[in-house]
Amino acid sequence: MSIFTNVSAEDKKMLDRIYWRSFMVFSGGAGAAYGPSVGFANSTAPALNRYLPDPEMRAEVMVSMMPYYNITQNVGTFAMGLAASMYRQFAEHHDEFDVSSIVALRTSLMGPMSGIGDAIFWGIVRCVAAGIGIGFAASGSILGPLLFLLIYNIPGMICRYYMTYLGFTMGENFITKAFESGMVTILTKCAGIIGLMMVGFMIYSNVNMNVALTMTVPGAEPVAVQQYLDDLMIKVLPMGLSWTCYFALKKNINPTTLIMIVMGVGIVLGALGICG
Amino acid sequence: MSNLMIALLATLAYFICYGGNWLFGQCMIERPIIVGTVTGLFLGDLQTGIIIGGSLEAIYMGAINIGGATSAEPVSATVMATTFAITAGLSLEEAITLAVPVGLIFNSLGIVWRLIGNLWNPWYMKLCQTGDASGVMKLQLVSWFVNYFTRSILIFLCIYLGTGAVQAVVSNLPQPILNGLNVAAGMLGAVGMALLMRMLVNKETVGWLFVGFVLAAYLKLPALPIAIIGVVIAIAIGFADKKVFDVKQSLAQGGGAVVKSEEEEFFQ
Repeated sequence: MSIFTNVSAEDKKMLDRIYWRSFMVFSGGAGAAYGPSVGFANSTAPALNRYLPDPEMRAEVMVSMMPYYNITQNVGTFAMGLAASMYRQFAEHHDEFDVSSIVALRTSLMGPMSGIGDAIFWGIVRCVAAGIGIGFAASGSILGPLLFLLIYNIPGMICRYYMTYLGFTMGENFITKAFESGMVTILTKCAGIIGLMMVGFMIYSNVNMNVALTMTVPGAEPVAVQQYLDDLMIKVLPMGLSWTCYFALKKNINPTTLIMIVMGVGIVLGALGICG
Repeated sequence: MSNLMIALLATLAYFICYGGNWLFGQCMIERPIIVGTVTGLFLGDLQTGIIIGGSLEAIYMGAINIGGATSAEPVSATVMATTFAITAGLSLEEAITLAVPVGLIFNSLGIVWRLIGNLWNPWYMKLCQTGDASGVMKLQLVSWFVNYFTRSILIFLCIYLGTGAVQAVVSNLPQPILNGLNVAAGMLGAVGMALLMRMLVNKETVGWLFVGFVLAAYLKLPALPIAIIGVVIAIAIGFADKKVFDVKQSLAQGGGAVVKSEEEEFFQ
């Protein structure tokens, strides 16, 4: 692909090092204010050391890059590649280049890139990986965790690598163009379709709620209420419960509170023998 | 296995999964399905670990670490649930319902480490002010180790001191409460699904949720075929949308190229 062939051997070496370092971008134990941005400095260190051999100039850039940073890891390398190309510009045009423009650009990427990255990698890829993994894990098969890791990480690592080069070669206009060409909207929508189908599958396979009550019919055997519900629609209660929780979250109920409520209701229903 | 040994191995699983996840690019080894597997492997009961991990994965589907803010901390929850299931003989449902409060408590405790983390800031600032780009990595690794090691100490104490208590409580639970725990464990998955739906549902695509559901509930298809059907549908819709988008674009640019070419063919 042209983005891999258009760079020099030295650029390639630097970008590969940025790629590998990017894996530990959020590993710092520092607080939320500095931690991620320090990880960003560490990830782009190969570029900092290469283009800015003068410690004073390097310090100027590094200090300016201290504000908060957070982009989904698998796409965040785009910002790192882009920052690397900007370090070079800063070194070449030191006098007319405002150092704060690098961090400004990085910050402007955080919203849109995390939006796409979170939706695709956490909402969809992880959802598909977990859906398949949980299925195998239910019977205790080692394929469950293995498939989960492979399905999530193979696309994740490819995207991370590609993004490093894309950021370095395509530069700042790429994201605007990607939005204007409609690709981002279409990609997010299509990925969402797969994610939603997996959620539908998981509501069937992972949520359980059965009514244990029976109804007495005059002159016949008592009939289980659950039988009526199953005739209406299989797993109608788990489906209803999931949507109830969805609307509760939409009404800004804290997830923690919701978990406690569902757990409490479940224990009461089970203890009273209504569900089982 | 002695109580001490169990606690040490479980803590090691916690450290590897939680710390490793952030050292290796959030590769999702902190997810319950992996944490359960690793804990099970260390404690010599791989299968129980996988089963509990898979069940907890469903509950914690929607709980992801976004910018350090989460609703639950699934790692400690999974480690403890798996450990107590293997060593104290908890059933799957009991282990799952035990995990939920643990996850909530440890999530609130997480703020302590987020605050303490700020103590590293002066060192980081100093490295930046001297332009020491290579030094940043060393400090990052040190702070990483301190952060997850201190968290691990807490987990160790909970497991080491808690096993006896958990065993005593569980063996004395009355039957109605056990039934209640079973029901609650089954229902909790709904919260995980709801958190995912918050991220994915919109008017245009929500119908596909029911397609996935019907394929599973009525045709009894497993996850993989449903994922494949989903990919095929998504690609088809994607290409169709792209065409519509391109037509709109060319019309908006005043050319009307698509319409024009049709007219030419008509007159020929």
